[in-house]
Amino acid sequence: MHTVFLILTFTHLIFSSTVLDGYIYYKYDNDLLAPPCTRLVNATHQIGCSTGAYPKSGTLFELNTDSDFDFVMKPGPHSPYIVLIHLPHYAKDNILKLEASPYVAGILVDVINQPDGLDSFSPQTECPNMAGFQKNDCHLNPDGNSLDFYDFNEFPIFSINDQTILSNLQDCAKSNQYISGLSYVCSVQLTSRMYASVNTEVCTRRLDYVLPQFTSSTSYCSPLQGWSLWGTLFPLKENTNYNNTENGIILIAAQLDASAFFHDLSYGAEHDLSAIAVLLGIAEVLGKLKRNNSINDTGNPIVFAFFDGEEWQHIGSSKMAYDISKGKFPLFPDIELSHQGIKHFIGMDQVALPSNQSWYVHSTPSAQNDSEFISAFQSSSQLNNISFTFLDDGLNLPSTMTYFSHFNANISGAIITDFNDTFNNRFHGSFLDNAKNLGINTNPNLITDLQILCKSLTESILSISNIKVDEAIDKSCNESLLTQILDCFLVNSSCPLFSKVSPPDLPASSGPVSRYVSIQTTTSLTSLITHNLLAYFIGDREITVSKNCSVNISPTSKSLYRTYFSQGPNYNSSTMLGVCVNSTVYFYKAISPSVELNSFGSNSIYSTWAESTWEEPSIWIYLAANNYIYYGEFMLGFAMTLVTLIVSIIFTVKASMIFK
Amino acid sequence: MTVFSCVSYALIAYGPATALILVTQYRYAEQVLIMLVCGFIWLISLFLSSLIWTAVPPLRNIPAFTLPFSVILQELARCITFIITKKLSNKFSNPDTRYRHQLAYSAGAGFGVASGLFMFLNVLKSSLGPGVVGLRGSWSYPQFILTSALLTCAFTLLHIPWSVILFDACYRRKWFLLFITPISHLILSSLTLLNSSITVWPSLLAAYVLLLVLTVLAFKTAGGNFINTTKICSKKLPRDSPSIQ
Repeated sequence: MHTVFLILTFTHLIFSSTVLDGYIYYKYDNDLLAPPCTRLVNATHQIGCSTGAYPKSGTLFELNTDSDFDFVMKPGPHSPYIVLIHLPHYAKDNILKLEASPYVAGILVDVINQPDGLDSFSPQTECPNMAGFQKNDCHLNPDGNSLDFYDFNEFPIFSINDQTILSNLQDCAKSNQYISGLSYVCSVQLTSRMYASVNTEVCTRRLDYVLPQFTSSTSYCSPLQGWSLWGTLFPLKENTNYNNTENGIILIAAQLDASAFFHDLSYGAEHDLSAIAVLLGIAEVLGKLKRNNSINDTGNPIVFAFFDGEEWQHIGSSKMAYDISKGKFPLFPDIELSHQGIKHFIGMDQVALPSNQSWYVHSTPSAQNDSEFISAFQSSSQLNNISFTFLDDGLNLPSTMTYFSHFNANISGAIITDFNDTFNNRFHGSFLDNAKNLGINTNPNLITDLQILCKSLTESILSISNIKVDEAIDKSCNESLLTQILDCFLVNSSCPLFSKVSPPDLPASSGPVSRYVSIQTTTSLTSLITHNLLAYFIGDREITVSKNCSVNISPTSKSLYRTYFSQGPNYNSSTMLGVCVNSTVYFYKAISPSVELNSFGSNSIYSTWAESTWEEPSIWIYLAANNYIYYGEFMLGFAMTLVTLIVSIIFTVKASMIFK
Repeated sequence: MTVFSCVSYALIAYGPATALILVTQYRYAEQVLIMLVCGFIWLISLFLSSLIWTAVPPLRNIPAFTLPFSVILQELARCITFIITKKLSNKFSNPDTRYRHQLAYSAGAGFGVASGLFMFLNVLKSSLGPGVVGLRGSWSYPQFILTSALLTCAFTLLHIPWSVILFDACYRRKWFLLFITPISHLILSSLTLLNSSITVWPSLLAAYVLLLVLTVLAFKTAGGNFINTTKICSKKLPRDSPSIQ
């Protein structure tokens, strides 16, 4: 019975944590404070990091100098090590060197201290995000080191994005300074268990017989998915078949998501927030002109699109292009659109770092032969004293237009960029593509460049869509709006612009917005806010109380209009007086057509990227003892037990003699 | 070294007591019964001292407040076990198990097991993880779990001579000897208060010295013969003598 009691006590204790644990460990389970590198799979590979089934632990060692690097490569009494590195040492060679060493068990990267004058860092490839049917031999991104696509199996890499955690780590590392002589060393244990492995085909096989309570979900990975949004300046005309260039649409697109080696740090300032800001600026001007009745619904429909999931082989745009080819877009009963019905496709990618206000228009052959198209851009560039240079590599640039051109090789379109044949962005696809390196505080020309581009494009777009507008009307974009968009997304998302366009129940957030697409079943903050911004700018507004604004943003509604209530610039929570927005802006699920076609093998031309499901990642910091201490304790316990056993046996056997 | 260190600490804390009890108590079921009953009575004393701890919230962080009450309650419980074991033993049929020192031994063992389990099992669970105490908390030091284990072993084993001495004093009504147990218990427990603030050595040394001294004392009380003890190596095991303990 005593044994039963013992067994019950033990089994209870094993699964709980004690009060003493609070004095042993610093436990950090919040993956927003210290985002790890996680695992993704595609048709052929697994990429990213995982610790495997068991946590990885080691003595904490801070690397500051080159001799520190040499130290951790050698065995020692306290190896293996978990190393803390700072940004000057954050380079592909160093990371791979550390990963290859058997004495290093994991890496922590301090991403808080960003010194000036950092060299380039781009974990993307040199020819990033090419679709399978494009030529893959470009050097658009010469700084690319492909670190994103490396498989760090059983090797965790965490970023440290919180000053408290960093201070604790640095104190811990400091106490390890004279490491050779210590009996107790400060150690770190990293847990980041990823369930997916091999490739997407293997891990999407559902294992229904695994008990749900032992895994976080019933599958080991899920295809990346997000929410794109699109909207029309004027509502699409019912009973219309948009199938030729006469009545075709003008589709203007930007990429909504971003990526980084640490997914929760995907700020994507130049790529592609710059384009999002310009596109929203254009939308705001056109919306204003519409509301002033300066323009009418006489020309080609202007359609704005923000595609989500683009970083992972163009998930959002491929989905829309696929649906158009199947006649499933848009899903309004009396409206049809085919690829031939896209008169012009204008994409924007990386527009904030031009030299001398010169932008490049990477066009398709059809567009190069379209004199009206070219003259529209030339006239607006002359008007605004900037330069648009036409290049003919539009079909071979990875962009939101890529899959549209796959379905219609004659598509007339162009991608507007600030680069010719190599990116101006030295931090493409990195968390360092942020406010600081975009130059929000250091580049005096940033906003003026974006503003003048925005104005020029507005004029070009009005021209190519044959919408007549009075020359005298000012089509300048709002500089303050551009500044606010950049600030809200890149610096602090708790800002008046976001509140203005959102309902009162907007979830609170702070700091910069990470725009990694992830697996969104409900809309992320990015998709939601961009939808709200677009709708607020191009929709109709009415100042009402919230209960008089009937909310309808359902994707299945047959009506073309969507309504929602936003706070407006002067929201008062007691009167509930805000702005009722009635717009033709829609959410659109961004999920790879591979999911629908259920083909995740290497013969699928669509994105096969899937994200692994995982156990809660965590960092534990604690003191660990030298191995000899553990052996000594075991010897002591063994000896004590053995001695007592022997003595008690002797005394029991000789009891009659001893006790008389 | 997670499970490994847990096993080491379990061996240190519970190994000697487990070995002792396995060897000496297996013989009669009545001995195990006495152990269980006395363990439960110890548990009641723990419950009552926890009520005192709960009663004054601001003093909950100061072990020095609850400690004397806890010791007094345990000793009162020990006296109660004396009464109960006497009553229970009258019902035993086997004369061997009615031998009073054997009863005292089992009672003390019961107390020791219960007190050892509650003292250390929680800490043992913490030793399953990769870390040792010492990083956080101004009072913490790396040898915390080892010291806990050693003290648990000492206390578990100490309850046996404490019970033997107390039961003997109660039986022979030698009231002067009665106070050896509570006073030495109180002194030892108070010395452990120094562990986190000053140093660990007073309580550890005192515990094992006290263990040695009281074992010898209890041995003498139970009628042990020192001279014969020294001769056990030279004499052979007597074959037909009854195994009275």
